[in-house]
Amino acid sequence: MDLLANLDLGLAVAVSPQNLMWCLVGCLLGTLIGVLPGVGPVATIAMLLPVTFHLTPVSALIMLAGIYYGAQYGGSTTAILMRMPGESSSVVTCLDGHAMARKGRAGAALTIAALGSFFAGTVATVLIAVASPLLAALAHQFAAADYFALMLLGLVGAVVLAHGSVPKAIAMVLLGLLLGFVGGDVNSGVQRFTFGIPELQDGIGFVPVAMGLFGLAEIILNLEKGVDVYGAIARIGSLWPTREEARRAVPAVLRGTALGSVLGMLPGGGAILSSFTAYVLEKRLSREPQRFGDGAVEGVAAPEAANNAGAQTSFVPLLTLGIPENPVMALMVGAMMIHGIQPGPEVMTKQPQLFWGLIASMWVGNLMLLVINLPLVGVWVRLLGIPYRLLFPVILLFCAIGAYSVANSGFDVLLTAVFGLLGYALAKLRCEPAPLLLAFVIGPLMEENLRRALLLSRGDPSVFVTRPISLVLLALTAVLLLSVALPGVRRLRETAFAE
Amino acid sequence: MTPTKALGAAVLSALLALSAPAAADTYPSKPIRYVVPFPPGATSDNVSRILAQRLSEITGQPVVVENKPGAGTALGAELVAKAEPDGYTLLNVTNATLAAIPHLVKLSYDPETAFVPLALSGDSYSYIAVNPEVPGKDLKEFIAYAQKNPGKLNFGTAGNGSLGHIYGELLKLRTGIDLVHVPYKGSAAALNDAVTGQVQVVLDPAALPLAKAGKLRALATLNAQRSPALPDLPTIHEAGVPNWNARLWFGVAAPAKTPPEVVAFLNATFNKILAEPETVEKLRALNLEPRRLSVDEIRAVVREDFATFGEIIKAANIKSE
Repeated sequence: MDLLANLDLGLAVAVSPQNLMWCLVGCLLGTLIGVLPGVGPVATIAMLLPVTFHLTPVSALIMLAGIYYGAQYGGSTTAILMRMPGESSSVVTCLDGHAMARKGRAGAALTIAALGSFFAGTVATVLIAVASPLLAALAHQFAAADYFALMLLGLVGAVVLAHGSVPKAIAMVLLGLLLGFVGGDVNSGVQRFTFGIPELQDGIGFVPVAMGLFGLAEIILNLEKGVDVYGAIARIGSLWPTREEARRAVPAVLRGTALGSVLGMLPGGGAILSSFTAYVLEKRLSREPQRFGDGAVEGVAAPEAANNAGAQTSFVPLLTLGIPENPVMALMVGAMMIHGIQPGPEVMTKQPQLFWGLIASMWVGNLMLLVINLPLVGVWVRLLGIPYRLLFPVILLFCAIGAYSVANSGFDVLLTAVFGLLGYALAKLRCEPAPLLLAFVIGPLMEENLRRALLLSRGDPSVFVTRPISLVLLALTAVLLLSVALPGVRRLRETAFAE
Repeated sequence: MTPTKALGAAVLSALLALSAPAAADTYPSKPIRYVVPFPPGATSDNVSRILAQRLSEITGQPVVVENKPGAGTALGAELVAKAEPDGYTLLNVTNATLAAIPHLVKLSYDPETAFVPLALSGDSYSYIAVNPEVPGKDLKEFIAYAQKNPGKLNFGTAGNGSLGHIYGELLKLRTGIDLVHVPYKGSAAALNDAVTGQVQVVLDPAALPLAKAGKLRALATLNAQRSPALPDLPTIHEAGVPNWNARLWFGVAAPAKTPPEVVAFLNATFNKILAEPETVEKLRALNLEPRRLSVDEIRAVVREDFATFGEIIKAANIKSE
């Protein structure tokens, strides 16, 4: 069979000693930078690009890919231990992952994240190997109208994300939308909320907002409380999940993998949605949604599986069309072109070693990450034992480096500080930053696709209901909206009767 | 020039002449900062890394590529425009930064006097390509089809004021067809939607691999010469569109007041690099054709492009504040 022969070829390339070594180097580096808050894969790959000039193209791509998914693994570590999301996809992991850490289940949370990610990575890799062209065709069914409907669903889901009061969650969503509007409008080029500051012309970056609202705010709150040892919040506890935790995690990982595999390959923001959507789905399906935000295992397992599956399937547009769907993929294109490989649909047939070698190395890399990460869980957890007065300046320093490294911009460091203060204020007001952040990410995509859909239909709004994908997504949105609103309606009625 | 000003200028140039030999003898004596106003992975970034590596090997000094994206290259360009003019801060440019953006954005520096060009590292080949379902086997038939269906076809671009936008508006001006502009954030998304048929037309260098694989149909090369990558594809002139004068090229510039000796040294060094077969091969892999021009020749090219882009942007009323 063709597929087996191809995989055989790929594995032969991937497990050659040289490529194994570069895969290991990439995975190690990726894990390391993923663990450093805010220092993301884009900055790291950009720094290491010159090194890859001296490698063969296959080795270069294998190493860069290793950095990419290594960072996805590592990013969850800081999210769980310090409530510090380094990557958009680890924001939701903060919610229940850090809550678990506070209860002394940090080891279990990290282990579940690593095992869930490995499982999802394996499934997604097989999926890419078997069905890349099919997956690409599926992703191509999505038009601007469908994206809009998907984003709308995500936005309503943002309200569900919230742990407490619904009006406050809606207020946070609105604030997030406003922040997302900052910058030049894609359609008209008009500047919005930029106050003549050139650094704001391209909008506010994700890293300053996420790191400020979650990480810095957390530091301020801890200092206020006079925390002296982070780990003192709780015992370190067993590193392995309990039977009960495992029972809850398994179906969540399965659902997360499926969701992440599909959403990850949608070009333009699909990957961001996958972990959020997985979390919302788990909370909706759960019989005890009140456990979410308070250390629910499903709230760690599902998004972690989803983001890793998404990280793998986001290679689909690159491998099938040569079109990069996120900045990391754009760097991979750059690396290919420097080696004289024109990325595009022809890579699969003209450079089979490269194509199948890269796919096989994805699985090898995931296995390596599991082997690297499981023993490290104990090391990371012990980090919590470091006195906080020593730990927090280091975290702060890495945050500043991370914020700066995204675009070599001092302005972004300043913005991170401002969002840190905002995050502190929100915590005092008992408003949750997660819906704000999701709306901040989704809002601009939603607007862009709404206006593009209307531009393409020449102003006819019926496109949203005549396209089947869009119609289904809008119907789901309506159902979700009702399910959020109904308990509120019932409560309102109950209070009315009581009077 | 008034007598006092002339005197001042004379004194200034005498002073410069006094200090110059020292600068020229020792340059470069410390690391050089090479600013790229695009994110990592962009063509500009790739070109810069190739040139920076060779410049570093030749001069023995580290050449550090620094990505400073934002505000349509204005952030990075401003950084270099206001940097110490000592030859230790260089800017990777495209003619869009030097000749198109000044017509679109209010800048904090004077684009016409802020920079001195050092090299023209490559002319870029761009293509007009359509979704394979669109009727018309060549550009002429496509234009005829578009004329019969005014306002029905869309062209996708990397954004307002992007080169694809300017190319599209120029095509409309020169042929009288009516296409609707659909801006995206970056050309990758626009190309993706051209493959799926959401938009029908793209005008972009990155259409090449998709055209080669049959996912898009290339109609013409938007250059004066045929592209070596698609030698059978006619140029836009050959396809019958008159007066096509927009183009894209990559280059290197420094702050305008950089000492002339340093400018001469860098111009000569870059032209030496651009003559190396290995560098030429790498640049051709990026779809670029390197050229070796003197500083004055590049200045003339910039002036020509400045006028051309100004005319198109004004005629088509392209806005990007």
